[in-house]
Amino acid sequence: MSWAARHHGYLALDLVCSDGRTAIARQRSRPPLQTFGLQGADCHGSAYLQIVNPCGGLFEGDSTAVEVSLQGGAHLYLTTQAATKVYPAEHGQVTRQHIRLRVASGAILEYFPLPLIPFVRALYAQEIEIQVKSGGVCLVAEVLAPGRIARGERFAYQMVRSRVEGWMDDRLALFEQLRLQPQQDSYAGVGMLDGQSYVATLYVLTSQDLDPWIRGWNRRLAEQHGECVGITTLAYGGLVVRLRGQTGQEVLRRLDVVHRLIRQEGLGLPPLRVYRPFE
Amino acid sequence: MILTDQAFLRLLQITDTAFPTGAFAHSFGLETYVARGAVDTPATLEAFIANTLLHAVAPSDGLACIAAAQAGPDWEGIVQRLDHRLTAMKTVTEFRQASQSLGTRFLRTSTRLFALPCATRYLAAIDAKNLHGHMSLAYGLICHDLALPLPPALSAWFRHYCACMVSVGVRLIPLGQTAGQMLLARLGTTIVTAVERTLGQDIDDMTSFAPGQELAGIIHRDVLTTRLYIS
Repeated sequence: MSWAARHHGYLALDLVCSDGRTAIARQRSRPPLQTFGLQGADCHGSAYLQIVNPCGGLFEGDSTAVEVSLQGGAHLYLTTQAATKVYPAEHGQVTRQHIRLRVASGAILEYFPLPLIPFVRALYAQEIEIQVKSGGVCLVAEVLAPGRIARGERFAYQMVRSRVEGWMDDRLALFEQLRLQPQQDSYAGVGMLDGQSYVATLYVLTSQDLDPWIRGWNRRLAEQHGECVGITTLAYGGLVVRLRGQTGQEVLRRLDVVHRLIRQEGLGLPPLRVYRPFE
Repeated sequence: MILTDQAFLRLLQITDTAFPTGAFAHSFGLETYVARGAVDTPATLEAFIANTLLHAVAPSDGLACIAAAQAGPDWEGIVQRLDHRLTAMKTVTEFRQASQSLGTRFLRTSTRLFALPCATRYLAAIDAKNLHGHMSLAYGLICHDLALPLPPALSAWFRHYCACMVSVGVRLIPLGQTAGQMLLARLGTTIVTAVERTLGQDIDDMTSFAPGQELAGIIHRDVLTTRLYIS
């Protein structure tokens, strides 16, 4: 069975650079996953695209896959129309999401989905595979909410499992896996969330040397946000940014601040002109 | 596998906090917590040590150690894969460098004391810069070479982590030596839990989640102005 056929919802996007603009060369999708029209993200040919799921969330046992491939020169800011809501698993079936991102030399992919909100009793497993060729850049953000706060659901889900593998050419540059089971363990304490509720990570895979920036960035971020944001360098280049916050808006704003720093100062990219719900 | 008297003595020696690996020079983010006043009592120190052991050390390094200790004829391929995975997994620069530095020193000293065929080959691969050399894999291979049974070997190693962290806390907070020993005694239950959880897992289940500790490690390198520890 092919990779696409194993999943209920499927979205595959191939993007190229055509006449200085990023364009979709090929798109395949199977409901419920759709996209909302490609738009310009700046005046330098980069594009903005939303992934849309009209179901309003992922249900128990759902399995979706997103596969995005960028050819040289293409530059895409990819996001989701809304937060990814994971509904309760009443029969013990896991909701799964599998994301594959491939970035060629000279291409830039920024994947910034809105937060993941696991509802009470949700069971969720996600895998992200990133492959970046030397000279390419891939930024991937993950924001995990503790649940539906307004309904009093805070760490009421059964399980969230996330695995991220990032490859720079043939080298494993990033491996991250977590499995949170808040019914069995508390994550609130010292060394963990320290009383914060939201946790986010930004992965930056690039062969560009960003290390000279890190110490200065961390000092500026510590002045503004205390011990809630920190940037570290991976062994083979690239960065990981850790973020925490008390609210979704707070952690998204912090993510936006650090994203701008890395894009504009580190990577030398022009500012994005896209809609972001926390601005 | 039975823990013979000879093996027991060797286990005591290699997990003695006086064994020269350099572990006492690392706080793994604890110094940041103490500097910020977030760890300032035996209770908060215990919480930091227990949380980081259960959610970061045991489910990542613990599993890597078990895989190395149990590896059969194909052990070199397994260790090579895990060595790369641990390098990619230890995202905080100071923690990654600590693991490599401690692992290499541990191998260098141990291979001078005992006949350790697998550990010697791992050290040769590190010296040839083919592998990075992580503490958990070094310890696992030495357990393999010394025929140390896993449950006590893992308990001893986790206890070593706790003892080093207690020592950091005793010096930085500061706490009295007796308070430190009382804390270490209380951590026994956590160590047993960590060993039980780790022994039941598959190597593909390697996880780590201690965002506060990671942020503290980042801040330790880049923001703290006074530091007594390397990490």
